[in-house]
Amino acid sequence: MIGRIHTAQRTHGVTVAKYLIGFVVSVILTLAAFIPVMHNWVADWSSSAKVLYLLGLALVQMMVQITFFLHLTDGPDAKYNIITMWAAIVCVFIIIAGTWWVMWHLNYQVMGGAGRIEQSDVIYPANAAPAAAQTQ
Amino acid sequence: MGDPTAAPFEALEQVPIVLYTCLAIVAIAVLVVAGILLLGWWRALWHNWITSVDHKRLGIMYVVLAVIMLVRGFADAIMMRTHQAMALGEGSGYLPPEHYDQIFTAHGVIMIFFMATPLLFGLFNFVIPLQIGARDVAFPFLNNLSFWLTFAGAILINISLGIGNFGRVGWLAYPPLSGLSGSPDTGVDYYIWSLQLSGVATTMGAINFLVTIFKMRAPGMTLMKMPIFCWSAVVSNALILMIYPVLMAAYIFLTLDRYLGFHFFTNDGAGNPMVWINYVWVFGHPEVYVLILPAFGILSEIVPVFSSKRLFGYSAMIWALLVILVLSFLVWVHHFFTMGAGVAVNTFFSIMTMIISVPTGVKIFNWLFTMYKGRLRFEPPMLWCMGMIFTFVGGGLTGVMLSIAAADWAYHNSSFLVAHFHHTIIGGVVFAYLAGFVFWFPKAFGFKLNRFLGIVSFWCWFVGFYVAFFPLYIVGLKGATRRMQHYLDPSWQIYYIVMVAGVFIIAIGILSLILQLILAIIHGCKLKGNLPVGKADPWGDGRSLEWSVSSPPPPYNFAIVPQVSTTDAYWQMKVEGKSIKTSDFQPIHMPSNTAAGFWIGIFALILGFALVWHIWWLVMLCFIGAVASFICYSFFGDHDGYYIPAAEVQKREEAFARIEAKGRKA
Amino acid sequence: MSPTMIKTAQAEGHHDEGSTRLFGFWIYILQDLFLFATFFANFAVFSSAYSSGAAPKEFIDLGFVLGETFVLLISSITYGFAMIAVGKNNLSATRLWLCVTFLLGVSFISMELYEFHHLFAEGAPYLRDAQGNIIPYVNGIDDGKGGGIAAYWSAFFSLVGLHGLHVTAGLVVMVCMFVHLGMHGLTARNKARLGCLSLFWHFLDIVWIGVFTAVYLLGAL
Repeated sequence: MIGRIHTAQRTHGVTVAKYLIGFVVSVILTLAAFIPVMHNWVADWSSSAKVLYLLGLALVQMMVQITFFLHLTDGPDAKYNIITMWAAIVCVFIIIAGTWWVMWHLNYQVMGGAGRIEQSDVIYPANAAPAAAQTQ
Repeated sequence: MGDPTAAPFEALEQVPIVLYTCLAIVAIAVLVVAGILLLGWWRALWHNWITSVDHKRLGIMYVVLAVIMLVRGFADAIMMRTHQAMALGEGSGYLPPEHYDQIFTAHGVIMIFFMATPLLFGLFNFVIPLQIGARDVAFPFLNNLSFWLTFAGAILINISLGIGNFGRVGWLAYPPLSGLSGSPDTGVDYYIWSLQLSGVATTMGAINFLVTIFKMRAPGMTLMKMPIFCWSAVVSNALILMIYPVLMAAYIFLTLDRYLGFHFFTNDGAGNPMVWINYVWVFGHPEVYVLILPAFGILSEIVPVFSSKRLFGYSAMIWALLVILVLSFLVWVHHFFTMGAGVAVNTFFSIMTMIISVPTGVKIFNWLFTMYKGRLRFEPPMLWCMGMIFTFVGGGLTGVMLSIAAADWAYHNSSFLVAHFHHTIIGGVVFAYLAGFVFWFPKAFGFKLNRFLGIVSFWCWFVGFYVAFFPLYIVGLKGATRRMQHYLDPSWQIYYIVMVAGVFIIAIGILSLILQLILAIIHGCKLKGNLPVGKADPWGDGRSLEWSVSSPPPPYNFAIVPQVSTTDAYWQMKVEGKSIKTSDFQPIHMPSNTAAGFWIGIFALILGFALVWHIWWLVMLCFIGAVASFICYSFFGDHDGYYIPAAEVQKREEAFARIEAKGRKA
Repeated sequence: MSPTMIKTAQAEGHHDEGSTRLFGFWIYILQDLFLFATFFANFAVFSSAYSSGAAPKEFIDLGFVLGETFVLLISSITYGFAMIAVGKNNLSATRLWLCVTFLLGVSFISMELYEFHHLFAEGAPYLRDAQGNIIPYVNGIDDGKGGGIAAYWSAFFSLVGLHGLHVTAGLVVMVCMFVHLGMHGLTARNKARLGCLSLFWHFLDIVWIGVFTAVYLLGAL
């Protein structure tokens, strides 16, 4: 019974230090993302470089906050927490990347042109069609 | 065009079938309620069932809901088939398109979301805690709430019969037909809100079962010693957790389109209807695996018992389940090969779809190897299982035909497809769930269902299924499409007529099932609802822990939490000659009943109705009411539970020991 | 049956109950993650779908968004400080930090509501006709004139709005927890509830990282 209480304290006794480290690193990563965009330092980067940089910073910050704020590895369910977390990350990847991949191909094949949505022909005659078709 | 909430009573005023059906339903409901009140059953109903958080009671209530909705969904099926048999030529048949379209939509929605899923959850609820040696699920209040939200969704969808109309858009409601311009009426709104309610309930249930299985297994029962049904529940509920949010998101987007002028799925305003189809099939394909995997689990429980032989290939079964879990999430585009994603996408998904038949095949062979050189007993549960194996394999084969993307251009959305998915769903899901229902019925109530009627029911379903659906393959290959209100080729009519005969054979099967239930209810009435403590293992040769307790199980399930050391824990207990403990008990902690789930369900039902009809003040009231009920429960609900005194446990266990001793002597 | 043994069983049960509750809530969070994932995927699909609505670039005020981000990030560690106080069984410190977190959360929501109001007031999301006038429409009624919210802005408001609704729900729960703590103090049950709210609050900050990156930073480029 005494041993159990100690476990409980260890479970809930996370330190201030952990939170502060997480906070400081998150601030740094946030500023590293905002400041280049706000001051237009990334203007001559290629489109994919910009996306990779910002998404990369976002993913790193998410992992930082998961590690330092969520405390998944404390507590009796640490193993299950981590397994379910990785399974969920794979699922999220499939949902977002899968949708993106399928929709990119559908748009390309079905909506005409190299990528995005064009203004379609009017299907319901009563809908007034705004001026010219928009192309990207 | 115009206001969807105009003309709420049009169907009642203008379509006689609808008026008579609604009058009949209301009359039956009034009779039932009056009967309960007059017989003085209201108190018992409230204390023992409506406010119960006991997984066994909730499981039974889910099954009752599912059986009622089976009748409703089947009525839709009979109407469609009888209409189709007459529907040669323009303006033929007795169901005009605007009515016929509602029927096939309601049929699909009800059968998947309000029949199969509640039936599944009923079996999960009843069986899982007993099989893992637990006393209840992890979150009993949430369990109760899930049931009442599902109930609210079921009531809401049935209200659409009389007030307003139901969607005319198929069970997955593709836009722009389901958008405001294509469906300027309340049909799609009923669809959205009843499915949002049941979706929330299903998701909560999935959380409940996953936590229960991970955290509340008996000591010594590692995951690799757990019954396969519980493993199939893990995979099925994990899938639910992954896909129901995607469906919920799609419904939210459609709601925003219809209610607030957003343009997600419209043709104008830069909307893209194709992305809806993507989302619903990211949901829809794993959904069928949500349904079929527990069916596989049920077979893995029943086949060993009636073969008197251990399940062949326990780890291979688990491997197969996990592989199917991953693969089922990677095949969804096979539902829209023809939408035009192109060669790269179609090829990937075509190959993944073909691969998924491999682990399924592994499971089929394992059941066959379990039966091989076993001592087979052809009781009704085993008949259903053998019918399932034979029929499901056939359905799977047509699935492999459909998986070939190039060939799918001929099959897509034809009656061939309709035949395929009924083949797998009826042959796989329904047969297996009915097997489980008949198998675990004596555990729940202490007596078996009528055996003769059980055999009649099986054979009528089995023969009726083939007569009702094989002609559909043929007529599909001839060019008949799905959701077709009438056809013009006279050579097709004979097939539709044969299929009607099949549907009526199935109807006899369903009637036999209902008759079994009526006989069971009469038996219960004779005992004034106090079912005696029955023996633990009515079928004999039980292998898992639920067969170690009395039938029906005591409220606390296990007087002493069992210690497990192998798979087939009860079989091991029999081998070791464990006797039933009848002394030295501790008081057992039980969760308290609550009315909060019921009231939140009622608020949710009225909330859904108010949202459909744009009654905004009622929406605010019910939303606040539901949230307030939940908050009140957190403040004033009885979270401490109560204790069953040791003396009561002892009395119960002594009665159980007496029954078991009597059985052994006989 | 001695009273001590019953209490032991109860205490043990409650400790296990705490970790069961937390694990269950974690599973709920994962389900919420999938919901957000779908909204993000949806946003990606419609990320250039402006039609006759405005493009977002001129309406994104990155300084304002940076402010919102810091408010939420700081509220994340103030909640962390609240959880440390819980571990030390310090009721008044817990309530204090909970209060601070609540106020920061309210600030975040206020800033977001202001931003939404500003966007609608400027007419950014609305579909316009050939002359550039906003096409009038009535909610929930299809009049065939093609009015409404452009697809990009539909995706914008639904994603950012979903996050905001979650934050609001968290704030409501915080108020309830404040009352629970006042009534019963730091019982095992309240500690478990605060643990669940902690998971929820940190999860929302993690989702916000995705939101500000995908919606605001990539939108401003």
